[in-house]
Amino acid sequence: MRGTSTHAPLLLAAALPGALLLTLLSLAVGAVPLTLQDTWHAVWSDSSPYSHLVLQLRLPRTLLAWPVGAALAVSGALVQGVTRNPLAAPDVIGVTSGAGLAAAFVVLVLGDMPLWTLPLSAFVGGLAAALLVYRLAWRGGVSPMHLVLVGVAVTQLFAAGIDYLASAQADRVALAVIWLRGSLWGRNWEHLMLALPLLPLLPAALLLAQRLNLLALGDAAAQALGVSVNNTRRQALLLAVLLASGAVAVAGTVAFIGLLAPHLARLLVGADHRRLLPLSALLGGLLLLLADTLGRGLLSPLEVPAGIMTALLGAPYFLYLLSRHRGGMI
Amino acid sequence: MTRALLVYALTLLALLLTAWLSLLAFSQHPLMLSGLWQGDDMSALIVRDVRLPRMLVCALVGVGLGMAGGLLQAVTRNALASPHVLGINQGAGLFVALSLGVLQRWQLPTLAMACAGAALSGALVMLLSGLHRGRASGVRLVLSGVALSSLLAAMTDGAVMLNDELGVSIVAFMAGSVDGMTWQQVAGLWPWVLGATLGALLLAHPLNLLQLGDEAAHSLGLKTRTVSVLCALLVVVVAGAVVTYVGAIAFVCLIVPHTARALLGRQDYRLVLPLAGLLGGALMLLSDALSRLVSYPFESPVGIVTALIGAPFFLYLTWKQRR
Repeated sequence: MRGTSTHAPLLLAAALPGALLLTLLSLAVGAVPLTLQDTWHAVWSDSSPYSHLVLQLRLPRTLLAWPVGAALAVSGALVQGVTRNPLAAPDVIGVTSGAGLAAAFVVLVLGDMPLWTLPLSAFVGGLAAALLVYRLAWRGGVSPMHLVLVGVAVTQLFAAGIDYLASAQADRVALAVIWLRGSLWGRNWEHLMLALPLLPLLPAALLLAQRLNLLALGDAAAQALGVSVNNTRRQALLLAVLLASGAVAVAGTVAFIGLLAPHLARLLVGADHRRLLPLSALLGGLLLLLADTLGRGLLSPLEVPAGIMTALLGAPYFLYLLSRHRGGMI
Repeated sequence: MTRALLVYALTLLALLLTAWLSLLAFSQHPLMLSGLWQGDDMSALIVRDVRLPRMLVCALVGVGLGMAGGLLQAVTRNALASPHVLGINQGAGLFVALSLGVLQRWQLPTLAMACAGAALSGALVMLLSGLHRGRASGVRLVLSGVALSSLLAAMTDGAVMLNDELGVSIVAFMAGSVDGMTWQQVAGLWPWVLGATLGALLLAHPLNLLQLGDEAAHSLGLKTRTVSVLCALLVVVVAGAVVTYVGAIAFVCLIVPHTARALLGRQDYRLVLPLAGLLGGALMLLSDALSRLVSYPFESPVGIVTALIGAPFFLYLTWKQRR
């Protein structure tokens, strides 16, 4: 908090034009590269030859990056806040891969199911993974490193399951990549509708912000200040699982945004969750949009899934955090 | 000693059984061993040219990985260490993908590239976890390894996508597959596995001393640094050779040394390492048979089967690590 509050409006003022520019850029980049002028034209007039490309193929992807990235980021901020663990994130503790396995099962094995079953199954998978990890890591408390270690092992387990499902569908490699790595490839307006319920959940996280701030003082202090520690923890984790599995249901197992975005936000505005949560959401959306745009633009006409780009950014950062982490219990 | 004899006898029996399964079971064309000398040409052809080399590759890979896992766990003194968990396999995989893809025009030898990749990622994970500065905590080593492997795997995926005609084959390759093995692969693989086995047997006694701790081993006249470097070299060669010929096989190297120690009831690496090799062979042969069963009549990559078997075991080990 140390006087960083003055930065917040400035940051927002700088971020908004940047976000708009990136949005426009993401509409222009791809197998058929467009000039910014053509893109602008295609958005606003039906007569442009590119309007189908921009409005039907690229715009839903671009818009989808925001709720998905934001949900992953807020989920990460909540998990980090609740566990007081800088290494935690929905993908690190297994929630993403649990949700991914359940959703991949619905898509790859059951096949033609109505689209709404995706988020539902993802939520069931994510919740099961979270409970499993917490149960296995619990020994009268949870040490940060141990939670991450068990999370990593559970992730390996679910990833093996996804690998198995995907290998049985060798003819649908592109579809399998979504569940293995996470990607916005081929997402359309229908998927965007599916992601809309994530939006009201984002401000819901803010209701927990003040209690999470108090929780940061330690369980005993928070209790003394009138916070119901266990309830807060349960609500925050449930919300985190909901957000992460909702994101996974539409974009697959995108890695490391839930880890990166809250850390970046904390660097910028400090640890106050009232500011941390909204900025995390913004940065998460921005990161995913950037990853998707880079993935399409770098090797055009080939496309690198957004999940690979986020892993390239996020894994080194995780290694850096790990080398700095000197907590006890390891 | 009687216990050790019994364990070895049972393991050999298991090896024979699984070899029989790997050779004959779960085929779309019903294979009978009796058909071989009753003039069933189809059976004879399949067994000789398809199943036999495949079985031998599985056995060789299993033996190599079992030894490598045992060596790595001994030298890091870490129950969770394995070439797959520490990212050594993924490093080799990345370099193979690069040599088959982007760097294709230089015609680099794949095996050398795989070993270079394995060595590089092994060195990286050591530096990152602080292992070179003394005994790193088990958890830190594993987490560094896992983060490094996810980075390397992402880079491999990216490298594969650079030339997508390789795409599907490398997807199977990254998971580890013994589909389409011929006598050529057997010939390429056995010298490395034999070399690594001999090396491991020679290092078994020094590794026993190393378990006493660096200082004690040192005072007994052991050149601890030399032993560690030799072990690392063997692990790198085995990982490189296996990744070159069949791909990154998950978790065999993690499960097998534990099983060997538990069966023998002691830590003596002169007994543990050979047993780990035999058990590794049996596990690979069993996984090979299962890989034809799990989505019959289609085949799954054998690496996926070992991952499905090994991941719960890894979870169990991490659960046991809690303090």
